[in-house]
Amino acid sequence: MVAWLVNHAYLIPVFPFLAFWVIALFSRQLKLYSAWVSIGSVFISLIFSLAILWIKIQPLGIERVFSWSWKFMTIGDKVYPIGIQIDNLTTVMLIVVTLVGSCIQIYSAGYMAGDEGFPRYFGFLSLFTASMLGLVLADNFLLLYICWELVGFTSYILIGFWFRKPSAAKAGKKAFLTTRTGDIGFLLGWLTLFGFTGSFALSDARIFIVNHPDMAFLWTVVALLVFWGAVGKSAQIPLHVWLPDAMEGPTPVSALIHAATMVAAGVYLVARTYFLFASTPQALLVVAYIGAFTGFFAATIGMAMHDIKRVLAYSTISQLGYMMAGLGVGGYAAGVFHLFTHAFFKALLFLGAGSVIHACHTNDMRRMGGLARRMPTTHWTFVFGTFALIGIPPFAGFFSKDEILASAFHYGKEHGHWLIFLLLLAGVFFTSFYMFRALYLTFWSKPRCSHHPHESPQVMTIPLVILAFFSLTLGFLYKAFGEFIFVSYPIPSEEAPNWLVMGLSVGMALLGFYVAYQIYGVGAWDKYLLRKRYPLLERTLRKKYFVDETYETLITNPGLHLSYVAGGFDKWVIDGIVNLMGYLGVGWSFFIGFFDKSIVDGIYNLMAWITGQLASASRRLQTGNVSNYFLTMLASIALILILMKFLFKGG
Amino acid sequence: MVPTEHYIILALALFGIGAYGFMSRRNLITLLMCMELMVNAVNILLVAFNRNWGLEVTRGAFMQARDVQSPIGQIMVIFSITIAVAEAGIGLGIIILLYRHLKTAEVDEVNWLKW
Repeated sequence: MVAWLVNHAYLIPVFPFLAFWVIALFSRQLKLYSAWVSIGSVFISLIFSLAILWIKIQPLGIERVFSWSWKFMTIGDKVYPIGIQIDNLTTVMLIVVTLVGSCIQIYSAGYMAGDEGFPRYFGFLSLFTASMLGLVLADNFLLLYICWELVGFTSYILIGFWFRKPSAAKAGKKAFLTTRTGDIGFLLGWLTLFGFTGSFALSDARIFIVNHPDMAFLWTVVALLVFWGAVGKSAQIPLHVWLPDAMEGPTPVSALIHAATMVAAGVYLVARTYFLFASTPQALLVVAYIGAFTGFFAATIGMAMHDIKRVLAYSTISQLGYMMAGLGVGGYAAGVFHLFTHAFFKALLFLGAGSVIHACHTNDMRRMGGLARRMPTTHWTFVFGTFALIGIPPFAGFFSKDEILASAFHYGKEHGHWLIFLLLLAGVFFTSFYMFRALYLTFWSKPRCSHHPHESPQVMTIPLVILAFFSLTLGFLYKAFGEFIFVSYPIPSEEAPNWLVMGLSVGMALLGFYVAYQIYGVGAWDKYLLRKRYPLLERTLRKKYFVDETYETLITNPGLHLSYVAGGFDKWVIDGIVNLMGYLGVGWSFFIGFFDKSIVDGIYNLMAWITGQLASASRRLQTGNVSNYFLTMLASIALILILMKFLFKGG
Repeated sequence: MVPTEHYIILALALFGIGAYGFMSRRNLITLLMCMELMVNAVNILLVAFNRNWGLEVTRGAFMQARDVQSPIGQIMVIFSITIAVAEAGIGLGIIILLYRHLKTAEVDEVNWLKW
């Protein structure tokens, strides 16, 4: 059974894809059953993924790589195959996508109940799952890029799911355009590689790069281009602006696409093309710095948000920054492990927030509070997620984040870039602070809700419990996971546990908790302290470092003006020329018509008129009187004779 | 021998009488008669001119003599008289038909085909 499943593992993305078409074609008939179709398809994929995992964790199974290849196209005598390949990194991603995806889809069935777009929602969710699975399975840049764009498209369409709301439509547009800005870089990057290797396959690119260390500068450029794509998809600075706005979508979508899977695709891309980055230390350094800055600054913005989903969105950006930084400083397993654990606990946090929003009908944390007693399951799972996120031992996040910090520490010790480690460490404090602030405002303080919220139905709480379980336990796998991923990309990581880093990170987390406790727990410190003392700093945080405003001024508005100018040019000049030609044609035909009517017709009319005049003049000769005729005849003959006499003398 | 001038004067007089009558009279029968007068004036001229200039016609058709008088004028007159007779017959027929239709033989009133 397991063997059969593994032998046909290429079917994994097919089931959700079929589910998408079934729902798309029969949504009218299926109605609420579309949820079953979608959940069923992702469950089948989950079973396949678990079978692969089962094979992989057998003795000797860890080294096995499953791959399938099909002929994609033939140009001349060159065959371009396209295929899928399941190595250990892919296995991890498969588990994440299918397991978290199943939980979130079950949750969605409860969350989206009663929405008029219910079948549409599950259809797109299936399409997203299919493309995401295709993305992680691809063994070549072409399929990877196609799925990369497909997940971007489904993300766009699900952010704008409630497209009647202008803000949602706008957010979808923003997400699409921003990630597209990044995608251009990825496209250029892999096309450059394709130009050199003549093959789509990642393995060919890897061999080529390893064999050509002399072209390091080119590889740096290509790596940075590919990373630019990852920056767009994973919402790293400076392309992070779309992710907070993406929270306009339904909350399970935020959990699945904008926390657990799609935004992690950028991290996955860097991990997948790590051979490219590993060939140039400069590119890795850029990755590390971008990640660290994102991790730090997104966490600071998270402190100033009032919308619970936006807090989590900035938290996601920040955590993605940690993953990037982890990869950048050489902690390959650490970055991927954090991706793995983060998918679970961030999905959990988002689903918890969705549960809260479902109960309170608002996103604003200032109008929540005191929900701990009313929604015990949501509360406890949310606490689990929080602990996992801020890295309280023994929760999952502690192990993964600690590995990243240890790698950064190690990197600082070896290469000197201590700023990365310090930024990440400071980020831990801010993370802890904003998460406890959210907990206090939402669950622990006095109720400020306008009505009586109730616990969500079981269809929503059971996925929460499952995810909470994983958030608690996954961390213990860190050693096994390290070995598992080591096979995929052998890069040595810090072996011994670094007690110093561990202590520092837990200390920072507790410090964040202490500050939050003092401000929101007992109210000992004024929560408007920052605003009073440093109004500029507070404003900067609240306005998210004015990045949106800067983009609006520098890019969006000039773009709009340019398009206005272009539109005006089109409207007045191009249309003007076309219209002028039209007017000229009309004028010319008027002239031609006039000429035809007056001159040409005139000539004929004149001739007719002359003929008529001549005729009416000459018809008077026809008196009808024979005598007159005779007289005329006589006169004429006489005249002729006289003329002959005078003109022709001989006559 | 009567000089040729007399014949010419006679013919002109006849023609003038005929022409005057043709123009001034309105009765169709009178017109027909005037026409006859003019035709006969021409006939007289033909005969007279034949006598004067006919000698110059050099060769007869069936005779050896060189200076025989050519009878061509007389022959033309015979033709002319024949045609005039036929013409008078047709003309009288037309006039009779006209009279039957129009109850008149006045030439002024026969103007149906006028525009």
